[in-house]
Amino acid sequence: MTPPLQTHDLSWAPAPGAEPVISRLSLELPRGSFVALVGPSGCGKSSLLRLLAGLRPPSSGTVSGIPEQKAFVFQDPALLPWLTVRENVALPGKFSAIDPPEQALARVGLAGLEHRLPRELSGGQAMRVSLARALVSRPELVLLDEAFTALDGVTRRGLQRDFRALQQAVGFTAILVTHELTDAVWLADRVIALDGPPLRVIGRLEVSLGPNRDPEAPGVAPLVHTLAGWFSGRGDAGELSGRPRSM
Amino acid sequence: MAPSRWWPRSESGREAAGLVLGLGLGVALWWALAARVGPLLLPTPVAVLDAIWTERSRLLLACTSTASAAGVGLLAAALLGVTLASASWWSRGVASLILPYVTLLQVLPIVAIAPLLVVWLGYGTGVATVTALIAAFYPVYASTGTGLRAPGANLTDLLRLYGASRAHELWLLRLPSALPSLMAGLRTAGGLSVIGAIVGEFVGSNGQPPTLGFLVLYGARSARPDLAFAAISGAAALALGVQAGVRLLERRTIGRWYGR
Repeated sequence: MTPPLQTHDLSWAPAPGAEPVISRLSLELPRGSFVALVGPSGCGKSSLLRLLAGLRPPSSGTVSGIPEQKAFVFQDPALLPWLTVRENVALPGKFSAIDPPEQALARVGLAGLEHRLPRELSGGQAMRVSLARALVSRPELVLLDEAFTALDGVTRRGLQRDFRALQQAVGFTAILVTHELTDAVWLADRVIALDGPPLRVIGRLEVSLGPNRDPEAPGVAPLVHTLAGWFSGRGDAGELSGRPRSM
Repeated sequence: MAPSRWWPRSESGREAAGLVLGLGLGVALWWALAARVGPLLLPTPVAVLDAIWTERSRLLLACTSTASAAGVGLLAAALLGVTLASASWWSRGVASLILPYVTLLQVLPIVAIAPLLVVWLGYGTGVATVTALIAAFYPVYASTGTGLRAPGANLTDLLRLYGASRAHELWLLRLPSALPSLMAGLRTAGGLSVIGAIVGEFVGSNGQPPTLGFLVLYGARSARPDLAFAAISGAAALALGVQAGVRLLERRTIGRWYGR
């Protein structure tokens, strides 16, 4: 059995001697699941994501179980303006084996836009290109840093639904950092509520909403309420099962 | 204030009208001043046009010669500027190593070094080419350096995640990102390369072949201010031509990427 992704006593400060953003954090994230790290802006969750990606070295502690094939999706699409959509998606191919870019684009619903430049795309299309680029190298782990936050409501829901379906179909591990409680609950199998800095876990939520998930589903609102309670200090943080009572 | 009936409403129309009005005012002022001080000190616009026509073959040769010195100097400055800016980005040690020389090139008065260049290179287009290079180098170096540092953390993180080397980062991300800044630097450097070439020709040209710098000096010293002004007009046309060339290059390359 493949080991879970783990951090053990992980600490990180932006500079030597600076106040730590993360201090002795130990987490275990099961493989193949969709995990949401939810917390207020500036609590250090994006720094944790970069540490998990290996983009920052920890000040102390360890990160283990991170697969070689991983991808990162940022809040902005981070496309190169001088490359076409196809060339942007094919970018990881300069460093490792990838699927045909056309196939990755078709999976995110962008077939036929291969020769456009990023400036010719809408915000939602650009984000889909960014997702196609993340998926083209068949990653075992996809890290998403507020990846849907900048999109309008309708575009965001469509893209989230498609991404969740892809994650379920392919089976890669997805770790989404977000401050949107509803997004965290309806997308993820497990929600970890974080606060800080220094970053600390204030609660964990197992979410079992069934296969046909929807942000408007009746089970979502109570879980969002529970999470909101943790952040406002009203609820009891801890290990909770998020199965709605009606199920 | 209500818009006037004769002032164009469109943005481009107002731009063109402003340009024509500005040039018209300039020429009128020039004409009035020339009439007051006399043709030996300041020729009229008509006298300059006449000199351009009668000396057209010599002016054309001079323009070609100066354009070639400025063009080669600008090209060399672009290559050297981009290479040294990239090396400075690559290594702080290299940046420190070349800093005194880059600063020297920035502050060096070309007029002061041109006589030495004549000693080293002799009369001919070589001196003008080197002075054009010196004049054009710093804007290219500085603008490329700024552009190389333009990409945000997300893009650099993305490449690092793929395991890209620094060479990949430079070639795939930083140099293309630097192009808008480099183009702005080239527009400045283009004008400076013509000025640099002409200053070099003041000292390093003996009139064989004729150059714009030589004709300016010759006209001023032989009571032919009309010829000097004709040569100055050629220099202005050259500088504008270089700037237009850079703008065209900009539109053809980065214009497509950024919708300019």
